[in-house]
Amino acid sequence: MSASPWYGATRDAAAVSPAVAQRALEWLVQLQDDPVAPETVRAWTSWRAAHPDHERAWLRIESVQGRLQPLAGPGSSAIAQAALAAPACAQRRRALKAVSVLGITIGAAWGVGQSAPWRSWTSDHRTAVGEHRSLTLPDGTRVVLNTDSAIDVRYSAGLRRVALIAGEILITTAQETGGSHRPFLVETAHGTARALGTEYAVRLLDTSTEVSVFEGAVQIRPRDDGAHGLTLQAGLRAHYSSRGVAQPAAAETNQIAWKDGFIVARGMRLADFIAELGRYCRDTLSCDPAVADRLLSGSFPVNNVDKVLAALSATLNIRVETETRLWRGRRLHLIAGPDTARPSPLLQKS
Amino acid sequence: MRRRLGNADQAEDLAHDTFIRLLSSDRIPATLTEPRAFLTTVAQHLVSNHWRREKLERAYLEALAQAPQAVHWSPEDRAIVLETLLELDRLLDGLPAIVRQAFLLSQLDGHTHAQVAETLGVSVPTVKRYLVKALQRCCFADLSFTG
Repeated sequence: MSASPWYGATRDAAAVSPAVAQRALEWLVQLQDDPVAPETVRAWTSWRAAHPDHERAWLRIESVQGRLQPLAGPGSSAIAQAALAAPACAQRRRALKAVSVLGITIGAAWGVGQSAPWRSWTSDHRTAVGEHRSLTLPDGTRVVLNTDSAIDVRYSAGLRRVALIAGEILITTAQETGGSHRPFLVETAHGTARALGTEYAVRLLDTSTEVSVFEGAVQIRPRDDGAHGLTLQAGLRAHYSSRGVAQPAAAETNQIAWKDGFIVARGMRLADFIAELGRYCRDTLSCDPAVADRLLSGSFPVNNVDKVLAALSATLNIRVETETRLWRGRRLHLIAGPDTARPSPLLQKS
Repeated sequence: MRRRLGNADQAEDLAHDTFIRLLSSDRIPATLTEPRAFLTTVAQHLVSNHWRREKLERAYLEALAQAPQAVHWSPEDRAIVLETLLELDRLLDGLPAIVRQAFLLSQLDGHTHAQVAETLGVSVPTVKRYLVKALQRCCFADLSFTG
């Protein structure tokens, strides 16, 4: 059979052996078991890492699952099954009946977690979009995971290592008692941030990692240039890539208001604010350039987008255009409101 | 082709597709001893694909018409779902109905293996075998599996 347009980004998987592809599929089926044993996840993780072909095969599977996303979920899957079943057979009639009694709104509460559950098993601790969670590691170090974040905890005899795989975490390290004082470090694709008795936040971005220090100090080592690291003192934050550390700037505790479920804005541009708010929901937020530079201040809950946008509409004279989409949340676009002359207590002059 | 389709425009479109397929195919024999027979085979294949597509599209529209939730779908979403359905149908073509059904229940509805086994009246290991089989087609149509 010929290839599929779905393989566009994973063409290199055509070069793996059928045996490897077969094994990858068996892993997928095994991981979709309920429940999945932690040993299985560990065994699968090491299988993936054992050979580049294993990873190639796995990425193909993931990307195809992504292509199936429009058909997954309670509303569309019933329609898909009705359409794909042979006509005039019992299955088709049953499926059509299921379709007609479905009253669910499309796109609601069908998280990625359900359609690609293995994602949450690839890491030791993970939060969904909009969720935040605190945990205490074996040595007493406290970690708070922000929205849509994932970490692996790898403690060994000589080192306490946390790998940040996605999102953002806030760390309060514990002083180790007893004979050993093991270094504590957070590792990302861009390098490591080692704690020197401290409270600090680490956020993984597309091309860099941002570290903000609130107490003590943190030693940053870019992955490819460990010699030119930097020790960042409390009250400072800095971005680093795998090649180097950028000029530090001031860190503010407002940045970590998310641990209490808030975004604190002080004269923040609307465009920056909605980019931040968008991290906490499955909807896609955007704004018209005409309103992007409007400034706002205040504390806003991260878990109620509709309420926040309603409040902003009133105070910033903007309107929300809502488009319901099938499987990617809603598209919410902010545009200038009907009454641009109205003064507002939150609106500040730029 | 015109005879098979009963529509001159569609026949012309498909004839065009036939040549495109020929030009871009690497499976043309070096020498065509029976060019007319060869063309007929390719054309027949396209005609049957065409009907398959039409049939699925009709079934999809029928399902949409009966689904109260679908009234909110944008035309773009409807089109994306249809394209995805067509490709999935193509990839799963030729599999036994029960294997397809196991795949749909598990991968689209998110049913557990045990639930699928119960629905289809087969054992859990059988469900897993079905799933691997359907997933081979879906994820690795460019590889040849044995067995």
